[in-house]
Amino acid sequence: MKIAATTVKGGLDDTIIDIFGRAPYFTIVEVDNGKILDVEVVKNDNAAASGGAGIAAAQLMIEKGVSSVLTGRVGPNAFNVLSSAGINVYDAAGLKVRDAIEKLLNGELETVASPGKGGGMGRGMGRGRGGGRGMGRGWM
Amino acid sequence: MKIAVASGKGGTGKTTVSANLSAVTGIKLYDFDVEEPNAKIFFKGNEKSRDVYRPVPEVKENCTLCGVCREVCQYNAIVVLKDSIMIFHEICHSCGACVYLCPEKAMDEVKRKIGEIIDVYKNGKCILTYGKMDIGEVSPVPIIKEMKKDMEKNAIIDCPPGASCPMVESVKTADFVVLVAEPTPFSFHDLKIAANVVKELKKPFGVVINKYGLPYNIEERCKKENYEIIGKIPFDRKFAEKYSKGELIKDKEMFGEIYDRILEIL
Amino acid sequence: MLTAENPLRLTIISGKGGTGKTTVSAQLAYRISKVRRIVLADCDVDAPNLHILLKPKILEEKEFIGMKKAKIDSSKCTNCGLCYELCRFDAIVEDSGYYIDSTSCEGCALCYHACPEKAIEMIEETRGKIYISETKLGPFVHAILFPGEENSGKLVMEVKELAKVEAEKSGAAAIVVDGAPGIGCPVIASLANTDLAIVVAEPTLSGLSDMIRVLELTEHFRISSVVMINKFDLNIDVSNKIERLCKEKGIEIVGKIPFDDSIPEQMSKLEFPFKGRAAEEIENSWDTIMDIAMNSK
Repeated sequence: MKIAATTVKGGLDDTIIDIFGRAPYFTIVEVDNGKILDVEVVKNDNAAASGGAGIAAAQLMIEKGVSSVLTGRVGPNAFNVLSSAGINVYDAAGLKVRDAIEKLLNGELETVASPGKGGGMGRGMGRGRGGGRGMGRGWM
Repeated sequence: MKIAVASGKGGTGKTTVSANLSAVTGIKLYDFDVEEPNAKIFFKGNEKSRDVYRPVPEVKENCTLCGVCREVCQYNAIVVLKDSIMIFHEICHSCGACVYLCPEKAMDEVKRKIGEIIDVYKNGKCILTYGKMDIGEVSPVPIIKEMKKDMEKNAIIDCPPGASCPMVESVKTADFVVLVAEPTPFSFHDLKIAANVVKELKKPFGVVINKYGLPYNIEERCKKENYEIIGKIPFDRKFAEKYSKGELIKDKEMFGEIYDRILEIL
Repeated sequence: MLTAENPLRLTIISGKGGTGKTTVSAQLAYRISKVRRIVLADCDVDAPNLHILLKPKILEEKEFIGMKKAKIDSSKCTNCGLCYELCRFDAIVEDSGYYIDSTSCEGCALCYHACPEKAIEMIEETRGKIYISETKLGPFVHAILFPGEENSGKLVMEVKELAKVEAEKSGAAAIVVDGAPGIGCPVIASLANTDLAIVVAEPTLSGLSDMIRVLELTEHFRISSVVMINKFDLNIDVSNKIERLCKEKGIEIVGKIPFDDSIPEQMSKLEFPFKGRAAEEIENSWDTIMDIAMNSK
């Protein structure tokens, strides 16, 4: 299976950041039987789009055949697309990609069940707006 | 003749000038600041409202999920899933590209409400038309365009603030532009930006100074830039209080002179 | 704890222009900068003002490339008029041949895709400038959109991204954003990824109407907001209305700034940080703002 992580530069040792649609790079890791087979770093061309960055990023996840996304907050539109495509979103911000994958495989990561607040332009109006504020990271 | 009242910076007295000009001359006012329409506060009357729509795409049953629509959409408003297409109407710009370019002719357009246009009547006469954009909509331009369609020959236009597309769209239709500024460095800075836009559009313009009397010497600076000052509204807490209560200044002399000067220039 | 890894993101907005958004942004930033490192960003790219007050030293200048816009290659164009017919933005002008009015073009590329002669290109152009500067308060990212250009939302996004990078570099604990006016694209972009929106409202009927709309907007995007009333004693009736309304909505009033004649005076001389009653009230609001911001983070 393929797992994507939102990263600044990309790679297994990079730290996962808490933004999805505007993450500079996606680190896409192919895992089979608990082993890392391949790592692909994909630049996010839509990181600075005026609108729809999250949607475009979600589309990219679909095209890359990703089944799980490791990130922090996901905007409502992107969340909509990911959940419609059956892609799971896990809260892993702050962790190293390598560690987060291990945790994911061990079932130690929590899924993000609702979109985070303060998404970008244009919220998915009238489409499943419920669900309070799914928070990204805790903040001390 | 159409007079547009604009200002780079918001809150400099654009609405004060346009509303009073309209009240003093009897020319109908159009409030194009559809994000934050305020002129209505000064002109009470019977309101008649109509909805404004823009077309947005929807997928028909004969869609083959080929993905052309997503490829051509420049706004990331379309997603192709395994078994369906998802369209985000709120970020769609209504350009029609997906509909036109769909190889299967599998897209239709439906109407999406984006705001309202409201006519305000007093004694049977329409004294104000204002637009109001729905919350969450991104661009006021379609509403402004709709309002421009049936304007009276003579009109005073309260423009949106700033100097980008909504302001340009509003100013384009005018014969003369009044730029309102106050004597502060901020306002003068933004006045220059707005004046450049107006110059580029090749419209004649004049400056009205609101809160005249504040210590910053804006007159001198306007002179240096060759901006003609066509009116001054003194800095007076009384005016600020009137405005706060939604009352017009309605000083026939002050606003009449501004109007006369505009006629002279034209 | 405010940490550099996860700085607090405050956006000052107002709906209505001229309510004192920039004054509040600057003075509040000054207050925070006394105890923490901060980064400032001016997202009012249509009519940026903060730089006038902060007198920044520009360290870096970047070009802002807007959305691609159409351009007709007249040597290939056969004047068939299809693009003219299709364009919904009146961006194609007919004048013995066809050309693009770039201020109207929204970059949809329909004409580019549809042109049977492939005579239309989509080209990138510089549509503004972004500056990374240094001020007494800390790093400052600001920009200017070329007059008449559209897509300020995209420029706002870039300013914010750069502010974030600066915050990481300098170890800033907070990013203070002077937002755009209105309720459309630029302000929505200003509000994206904000921890707390500070709405500056003026006690006038227009100010009230605009505040209500901008609060509807923050509610729509589920962004926590607080309100600061500027010149609250200008019209006590409307000020009371604002307070009642906020109470109903469960929105906290974090400051009531008095009408202070000395502010326009100081402003005209560009004396900053501001002094006096109004300035003090803005500074005093920080403790409350911080509490609320931390809770909504």
